[in-house]
Amino acid sequence: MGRVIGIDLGTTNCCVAAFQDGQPVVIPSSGGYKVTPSVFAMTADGEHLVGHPARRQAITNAQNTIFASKRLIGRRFDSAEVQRSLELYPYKISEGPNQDPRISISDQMFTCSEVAAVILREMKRIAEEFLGESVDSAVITVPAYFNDTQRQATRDAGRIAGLDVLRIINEPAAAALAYGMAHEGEEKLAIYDLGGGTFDMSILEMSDGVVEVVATAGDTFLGGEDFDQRIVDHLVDSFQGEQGIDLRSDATAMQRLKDAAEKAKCILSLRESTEINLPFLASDGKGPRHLTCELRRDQLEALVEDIVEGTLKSVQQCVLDAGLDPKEIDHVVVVGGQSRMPMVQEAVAEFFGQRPHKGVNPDEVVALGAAIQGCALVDGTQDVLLLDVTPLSLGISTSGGHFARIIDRNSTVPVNKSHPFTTTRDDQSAVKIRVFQGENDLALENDLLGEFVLAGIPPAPKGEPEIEVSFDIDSSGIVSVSARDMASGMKQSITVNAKSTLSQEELDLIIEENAQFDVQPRG
Amino acid sequence: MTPPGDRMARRNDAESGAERVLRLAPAFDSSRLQLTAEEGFLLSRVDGRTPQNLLAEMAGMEFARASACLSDWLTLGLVEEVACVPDNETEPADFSDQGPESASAQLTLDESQLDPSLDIDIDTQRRILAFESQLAGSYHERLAVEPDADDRAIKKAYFALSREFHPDRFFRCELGPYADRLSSIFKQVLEAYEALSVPRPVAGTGPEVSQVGFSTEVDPGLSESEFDARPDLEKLERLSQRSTHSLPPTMRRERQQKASAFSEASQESASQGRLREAATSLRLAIQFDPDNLEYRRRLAKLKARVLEVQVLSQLEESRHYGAMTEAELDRTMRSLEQLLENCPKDSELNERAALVALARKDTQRARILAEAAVEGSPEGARFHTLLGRVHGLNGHVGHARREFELALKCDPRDKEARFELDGLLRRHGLPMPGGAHG
Repeated sequence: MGRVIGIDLGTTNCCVAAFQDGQPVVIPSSGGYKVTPSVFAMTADGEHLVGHPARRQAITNAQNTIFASKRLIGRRFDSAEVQRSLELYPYKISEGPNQDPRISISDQMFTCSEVAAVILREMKRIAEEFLGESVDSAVITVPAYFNDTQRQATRDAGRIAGLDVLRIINEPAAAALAYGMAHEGEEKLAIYDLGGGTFDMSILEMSDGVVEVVATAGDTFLGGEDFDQRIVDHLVDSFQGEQGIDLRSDATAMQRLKDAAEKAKCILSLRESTEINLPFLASDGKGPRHLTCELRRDQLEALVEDIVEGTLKSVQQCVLDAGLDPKEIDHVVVVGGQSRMPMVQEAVAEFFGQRPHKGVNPDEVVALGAAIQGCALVDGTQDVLLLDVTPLSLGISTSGGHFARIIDRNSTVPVNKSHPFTTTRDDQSAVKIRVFQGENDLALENDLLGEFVLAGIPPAPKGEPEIEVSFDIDSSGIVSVSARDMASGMKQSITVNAKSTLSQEELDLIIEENAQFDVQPRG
Repeated sequence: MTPPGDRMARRNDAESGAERVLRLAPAFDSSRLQLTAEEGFLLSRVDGRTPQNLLAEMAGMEFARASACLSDWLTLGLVEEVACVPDNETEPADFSDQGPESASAQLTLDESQLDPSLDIDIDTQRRILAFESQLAGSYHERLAVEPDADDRAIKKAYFALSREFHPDRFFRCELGPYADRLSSIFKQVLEAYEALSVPRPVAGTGPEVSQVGFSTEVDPGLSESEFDARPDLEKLERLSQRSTHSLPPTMRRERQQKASAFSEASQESASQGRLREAATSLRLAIQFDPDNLEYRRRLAKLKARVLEVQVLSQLEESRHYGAMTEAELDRTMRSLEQLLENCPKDSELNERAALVALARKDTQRARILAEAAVEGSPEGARFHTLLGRVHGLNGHVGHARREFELALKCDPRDKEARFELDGLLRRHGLPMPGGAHG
């Protein structure tokens, strides 16, 4: 059996870790980088570029460079998030056969899982190069607030990349595992994870190598990208005000602005002000136009204040769900690149009444935790146990389109729960069980995970038959649902993860295609 | 691949007494012992099979500490040493009459269930079978904690059992029938832990089942058979904070249409007096169209009406505040104060609140409320009478007299004001107004 790695598959950057001499270590690429940009591009002559090289050429090849695809993975094409991305991103997004968003560059269409797979394969390659042996299995992290479809799409990506995905775990839980390795004793831990594209807040309790996720909250469409976007909008608006040119339709200019915005944001985490200098950004009849302006930290803070405040709502929610007072938290750990911003740290410190813990590297801790979980699962050299939770409530739709919760969010897995239901019409012979995941009281506003019909119910007046609906989540998060008519003993069930954005044939085909691709030399 | 049972066993081999096996002494009455929760848990793990180092690990105790405890018990005669680990075939008969834990752990073991071909060693298999038979008991027995165990002890026991039985501890091992056993054990341990630990506020209070007058295209022909749950109003409020601005125009329009359908349903319900139902529909309308301020305004009004109806019906039930218990008075006062927030000038509400305050002997508060009642309806004789009585109780005779006189001015035939005024004057030996009273 080959080595196990842990991969933090981030919106902006990826990081891979494995065990070396009994210690989890972050694996650097041959270029010495510990993080790899989650960017995939195709050049004019059809060459595939991943990571740093892809990112470097993004400005000159904006339409054929995919970044931040994690924000699309596992979502429906008509979801608000994807619709918003259509306006924001220079690459083409269209609707796939399963209502999933698909990305086209250089006239080639990719599913989001395939894009993620390209990046995962690169991480696998980096690990193999460093370890000098083959890697065949991995633990991959996802935002705690990812729903079932998003997790499944990530799992598919791992399979396409030729990895045996041992487990998909939540980023904050991974961070807690890594933190827990260095800290003994009982502790209540809050993890504030503000990454490139997603925000997670989790509260965990640790003791004797057991890490229990107590509560989790977040937003899968809020992160550093939004901070960048605010700066870009600010720059575009002021450029339009000064020069009268709207840059929004110019993909190259927008890519340069995005790059500059990200850089400025990072500098402003260290300094009070920075200069943004983009010569020849546009031109009109009067000649070339340059953008030169100063951005101060207080200006940036004013631009993003509401986003930071928005995260605190999730923090509040999470603390409330955990049934704790913010003061009862022993340590606060901030994770994710965006959490480097002083304003974010201040906001977190103010909420919890204590400074965030400094001992972890926010970019690397998640990958380290994933590696630890991988080891704990397969070779037992790590004596830790993660008691994870399901982040979103699960239930079915009932009469009138209501959402009947059966498993509440933040329930520890594995778990099973059941609830009795009945018919709404006289002599009704069948019921349709539609399984949803989410927090809205209207079923349709949540994510549909799957559906099936229980037929053969003996004729009876409405309200009489007793139909028991049971939900079961195993420790790897796979959901199965069954319905049983208590009178006839008839039973129907489905395993919900069978439904993913890719059909099985499609997945097999892609895996096959990629197996060929695997043996080709890489550029 | 090493099963975790092995891993744990190896760790403390070198330490002295680590492999010592203890069992409960048959004759000892352990009920008189004063044990901490931790010690109780440790004792509950003593089964005549598990070596001392494992016991310590299961109980989550330092080996030295567990060892000291066990040595103490050994001297006390509570436990005794077993010469060697009992053989698989010969089940020692004298275990049968001991404490409930060891009895259940030892008696029902079916050795034929053990399967050496699995990726799980025989001792661990035995432990799983033994623990399975223990699950039938109470939640406390399941976790092997004392009935009065505190939260911390419960959590500790839960963590220790999770370390033992969580399916991840046997990840991808060939477990045969033990796979289902383990997952069922963990789920039952989890159930016990959740039931015993301090309840946390959970995501929702359960499925919402109010009869909202609408239907959507998805009616799966299924409904709740238990109509006990209430909608989680706070959560709905929170959800309604979302804005629709980020949506594409077609979706926004669709949502607004849905919202207006809910709003109509709400109005119909309200017109038929079903206020709660109307409020629920309106909340749904707000969810679909959070930016519509009209819906929010109507909801605020509706909520005030719901509350009013509720409090008034409560008040109708018992208008004799003197007969209410303190708790009832407190509750009534709180409801009234909530109502007064919406309509602070309502004389009748203020009057009621003042009467409740009086019943609670809070004359200062009663004065403020009675004054507000008078302020709201300066022409209402009975409010002046009330204020007069409050003044009288506070010892402000002059003020009291003026209020009674004002009441009589508003309504010269007001018997109560007349009676109160006479009483007041008589008590304080003041002259009656000229000939008004024969």
